Amino acid sequence: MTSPDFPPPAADCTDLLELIPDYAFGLATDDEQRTVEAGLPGCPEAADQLAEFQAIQAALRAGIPQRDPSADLEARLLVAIGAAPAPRSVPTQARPLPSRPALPGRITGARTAWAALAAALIVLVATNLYWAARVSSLSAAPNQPAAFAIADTAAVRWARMPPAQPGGSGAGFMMWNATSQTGIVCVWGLPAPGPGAVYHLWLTRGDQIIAAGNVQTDGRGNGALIFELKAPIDSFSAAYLTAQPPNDSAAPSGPQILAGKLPL
Amino acid sequence: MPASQSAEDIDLMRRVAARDQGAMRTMYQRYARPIYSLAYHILQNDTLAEEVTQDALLKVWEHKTAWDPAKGTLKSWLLGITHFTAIDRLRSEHRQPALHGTSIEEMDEGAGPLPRSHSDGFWQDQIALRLLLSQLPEEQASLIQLAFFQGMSHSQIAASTRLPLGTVKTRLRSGLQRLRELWLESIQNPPPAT
Repeated sequence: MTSPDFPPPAADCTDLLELIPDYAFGLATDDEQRTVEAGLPGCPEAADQLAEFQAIQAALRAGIPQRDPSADLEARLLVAIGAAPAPRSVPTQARPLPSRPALPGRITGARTAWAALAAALIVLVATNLYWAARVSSLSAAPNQPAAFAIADTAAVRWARMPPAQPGGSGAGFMMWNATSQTGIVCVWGLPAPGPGAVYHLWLTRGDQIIAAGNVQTDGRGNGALIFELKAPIDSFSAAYLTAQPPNDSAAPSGPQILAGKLPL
Repeated sequence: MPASQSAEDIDLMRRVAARDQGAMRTMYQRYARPIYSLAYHILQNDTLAEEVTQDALLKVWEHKTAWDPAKGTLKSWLLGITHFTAIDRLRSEHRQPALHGTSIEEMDEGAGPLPRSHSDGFWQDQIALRLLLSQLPEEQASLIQLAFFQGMSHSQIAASTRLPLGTVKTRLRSGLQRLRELWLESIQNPPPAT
């Protein structure tokens, strides 16, 4: 009887070749796998056959009927990439909010990433160093209420803002506290808004459309805005971004670039 | 694979490794369709297939596995990651895999006419389809489908098809060997390109 702790005796090539198809297609038993792996270095013919089966598998995978995923999958992937940690260690000192904040691609497991984001936001708003360069149209409200509202992660809401038009580029998300009138929107990868134009954030509820402020973007199309409304953000049903002149804030006049529904 | 395509993909992966989001967007635009198609073929569910597509690309982004250009094309490598990710998801969802009675025909619909002028890679993709379709007995081809695209073991296939376990093992092994023989024949004797 073969002990699982010791590899079985090496099989000759003939026996090994018999096992290669099952091994290549994941059908071999544990013992058979160990036999193949122990015997491959001494049996070039088996190694060649294994490589041939792997080439066949590659062709099988590529040869199936093709279909397209939904249009917003790219934006979802970019959000998830923003959430993936960098392979190098993260510096422990406080640093400005990155333009690609750490958020997971899925709702599950969000709390840790949001708590880290909230902590970064508290530091940023308090220091005012990063936001002085990046954020436009800050409300007259003091920074402390904005930091306090977002720091309450127990009732944090967020909404994705994928491209509003098919094939559109860029993505964004909006985050706020459930009962808060203060929120933050982050965008990345947006195209240049056009000569003399900036991005405007709008929130809607029924027929009402509220201007929330301008989002300045850098050369890579990344930007953020902390905004404050006169009503809880939870009372709104949708948000979108348009590109239009900076002082043209009476009503949306440009095409929607990003759009998202707010959770009820 | 053409040398220029290989160099492009090597550069693309270098940029991905350097955390270039633009490179990930390029990778998505170039490969999302075959990745999603494979995931859907295995899972038969749009939502799960999109999650697997995202998971597979995230594994690339997070350097959880490395591509060796000497061992195959970037596309093959990405589809390999997708395949295993999808099978894992299939198993974790405890989804009863559909017995694809028409799966081979679906593969045929996706294949299109045999190309007269072609690159080696494209030709080989289509060759495998044609071999599976026309040359293998259906009883062998369908079992290969269950093993490869559904990740089923011998005993799971036997339970699904209500065939004796020994019959499943014999047909699978014979089918795979015959597939390999046909593949080698076609590689060695490809039809003339015009």
